[in-house]
Amino acid sequence: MTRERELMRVPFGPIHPALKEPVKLTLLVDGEEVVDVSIELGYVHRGIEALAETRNIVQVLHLVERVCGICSHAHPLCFIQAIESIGGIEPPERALYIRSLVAELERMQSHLMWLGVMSYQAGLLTLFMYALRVREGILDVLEEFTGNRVIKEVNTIGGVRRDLDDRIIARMRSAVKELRRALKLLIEAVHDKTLESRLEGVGVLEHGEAVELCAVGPVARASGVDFDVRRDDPYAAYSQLRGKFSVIVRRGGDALSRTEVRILEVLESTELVEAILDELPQGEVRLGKPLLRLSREIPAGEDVSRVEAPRGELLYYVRTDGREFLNRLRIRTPTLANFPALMAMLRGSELADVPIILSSIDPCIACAERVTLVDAREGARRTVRLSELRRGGG
Amino acid sequence: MGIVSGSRARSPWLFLLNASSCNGCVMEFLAALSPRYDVERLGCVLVGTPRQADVLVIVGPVMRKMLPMIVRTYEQVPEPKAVVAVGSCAVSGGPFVGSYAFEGPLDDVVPVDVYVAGCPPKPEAIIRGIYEAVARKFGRGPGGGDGD
Amino acid sequence: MELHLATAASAPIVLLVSLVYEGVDRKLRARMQGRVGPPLLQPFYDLVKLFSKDRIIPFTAAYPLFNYAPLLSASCALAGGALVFVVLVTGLQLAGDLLLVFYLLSSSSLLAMVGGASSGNPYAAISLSRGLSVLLSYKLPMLLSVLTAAIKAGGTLSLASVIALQAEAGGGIATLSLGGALALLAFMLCMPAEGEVPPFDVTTAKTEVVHGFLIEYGGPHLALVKIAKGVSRFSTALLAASLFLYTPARPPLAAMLCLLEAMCIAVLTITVPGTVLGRVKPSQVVRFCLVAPTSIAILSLAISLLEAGGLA
Repeated sequence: MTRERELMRVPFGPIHPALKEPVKLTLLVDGEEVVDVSIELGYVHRGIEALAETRNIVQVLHLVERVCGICSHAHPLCFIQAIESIGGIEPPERALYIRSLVAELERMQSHLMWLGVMSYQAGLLTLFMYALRVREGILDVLEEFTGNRVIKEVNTIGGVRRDLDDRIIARMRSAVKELRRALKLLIEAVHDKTLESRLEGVGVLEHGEAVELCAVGPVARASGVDFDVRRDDPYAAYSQLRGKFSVIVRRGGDALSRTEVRILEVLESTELVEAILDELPQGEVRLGKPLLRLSREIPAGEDVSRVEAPRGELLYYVRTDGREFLNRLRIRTPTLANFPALMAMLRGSELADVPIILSSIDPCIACAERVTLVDAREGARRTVRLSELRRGGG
Repeated sequence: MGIVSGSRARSPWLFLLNASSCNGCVMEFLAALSPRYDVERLGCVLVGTPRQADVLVIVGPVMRKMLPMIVRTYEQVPEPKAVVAVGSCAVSGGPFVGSYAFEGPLDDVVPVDVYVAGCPPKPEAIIRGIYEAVARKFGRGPGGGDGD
Repeated sequence: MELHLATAASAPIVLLVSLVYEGVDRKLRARMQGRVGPPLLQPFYDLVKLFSKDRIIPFTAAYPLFNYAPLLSASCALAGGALVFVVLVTGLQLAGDLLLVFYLLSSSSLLAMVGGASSGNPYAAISLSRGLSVLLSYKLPMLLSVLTAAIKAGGTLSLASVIALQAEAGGGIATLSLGGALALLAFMLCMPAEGEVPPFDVTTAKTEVVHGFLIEYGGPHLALVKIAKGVSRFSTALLAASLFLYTPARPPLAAMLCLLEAMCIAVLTITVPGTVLGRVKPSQVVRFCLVAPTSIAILSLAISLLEAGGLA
């Protein structure tokens, strides 16, 4: 074995235990230092946007639910908002509250899952186990309310598909209370010395970089970018809930800040869920008309909609053709927006920190995999260029 | 029941292969490792390299770019091995049938021993699937008759 | 000749006990994480299964090294562990056996790493370069604390005389002198690195280097490496127990007590940190080992030299 100081090319993925999803990073490594990194996407490319153009609105609703299993409420919510705005449909107030409620429950379970995966990366299996056990409480109420733990299928045109009753409301309250108690322990565990030493100062993203590279969500907020779609462009019931939650912002820009932001966001979400359950208005949860007729009544038009998914700002562009089909669907997911920031974080880091940095942006590769969207003739094999990953505008 | 086949049945090591899944099944698989379901009771360990695996758990629809990786990973698992297809996408393609990148259900690509349907299947179902695969391929279910 | 036979005869015993520890370790870990955990006999099932699996040799591997290193590694570990056990049971005087045990156990780790790195996998190569620096950094304080015990026993590097001294004094070195206690502390601080558990499992970390040097090993090779690892970590604990915490009793009973103590030491220094701590970076491991345990070991050495065998 020659011990020359030469750069070693380390493939990271597409199949790698630190990645629960296939993506390929090629790291150029000098000893333990990462000199450069290139990223290759497309392994989870399923051609969803092209598929959407061949299906009607109701079918697409089920399809976008399966863009990503972790944020399986944010995607259809974002889609349905665009559709409703094109059709000029106003869902009942109670439905909007339920949408927000499920969105917050989803945020909690997503962040807890992330905490688990993150501690798994850091070799702290016990915290993984604990975070996942706490998360089960949220999944239980989700299952009781929506009928499924993961793919929730709550949204429909002009409202939601299920209504809350007193029993479920009581269950949700106790689950949230339980979660808040468990969170205290989780927060303590994150500030444990060994874990903290692994997170502090790792993968730093300065405020300027975060703005320049258009980072979104908890990643941006951990770098001091005070932006949250829920507050700054409220949707669902968030305009009525404005005073009930605060946007967590940290200035550190490192993995520890991102961890803090997410954990405290779970805490904020527990507040929000309680506020929603307190203020829940009475009434219907959807329009009286059958779904298919509603979908046929959507005129030709286009709209952009955005929501704050657990990972950050999620953007949908929808163009309908007036005959219950879509002309075009475009999805810009938060993970995709965070990739340029990820590259900046990885350069100059230590090899040992790569899994931690990678998971600190909470990547959801399945979400991000419509970058290569081109038509079928061009094929899916095209590698994504960085310039394509950059979000246009601010 | 010999010592060897008994041991094989009691120590099925898992390798999770994410074909092109939406993460729903991945999350439920991870939940199966968590304290409430605790698949390690059956001697299962999640390993990081296919070389050490006995049971290949594959989630997600088979898409063009992952196709060669799936075949290669399958070949890297030493015999005897079992394959469990978890989730509707792996079983049939689910909602992604018709996509230009779709390469067919998993059993067109590698031999599948057990199909676990669901979108996503619950952790209990995934554990059951692993159990069935082990029972079918290695003689009997993990921890069989042990009562643990 | 007798020694050879005795060592060969006790190798299976050492293997058995270290597998039992492995089972206890996994069960305890699961319990601490709020899980039921695998049955106690799980490590036995794992081994039998692994031996019955296919042997795959990657075409990039340097065949002889890749193929035989695990066997050599396991034999070294078994020989080292069996030697400690034989001396413990029979009280056989062997000049320099402490160094021999130390050498065998270190070679075992080294061989496993080199064998894995010969697979040609880049992760295994990174793991080897990490492993070498970690190995050096924790073996140094370990050796220093062993020397402390040797100095107590009048400067002979023989395990039997250290045991004899403790039997005479009526208690373990660590319980009777400050130097001994410090040496044991230094030794125990190095144990997580020896056991390759968090916070020091940088060589085989699954998420960072994909099991490190183990990445290309599967089936019988992996079984042998696992034996090597399990036996050498338990033997190190056994060495600590017999060097510092020997409880005078009739020979078979004393050996049993030592095994029990070794089990406790292993649980304390391998199972518990492995469960409650996260992994640190390779550079942090080296820095930690070269600062905390090394300075404690040097201190214990100095105190022991001052006490000058004041135990007897």
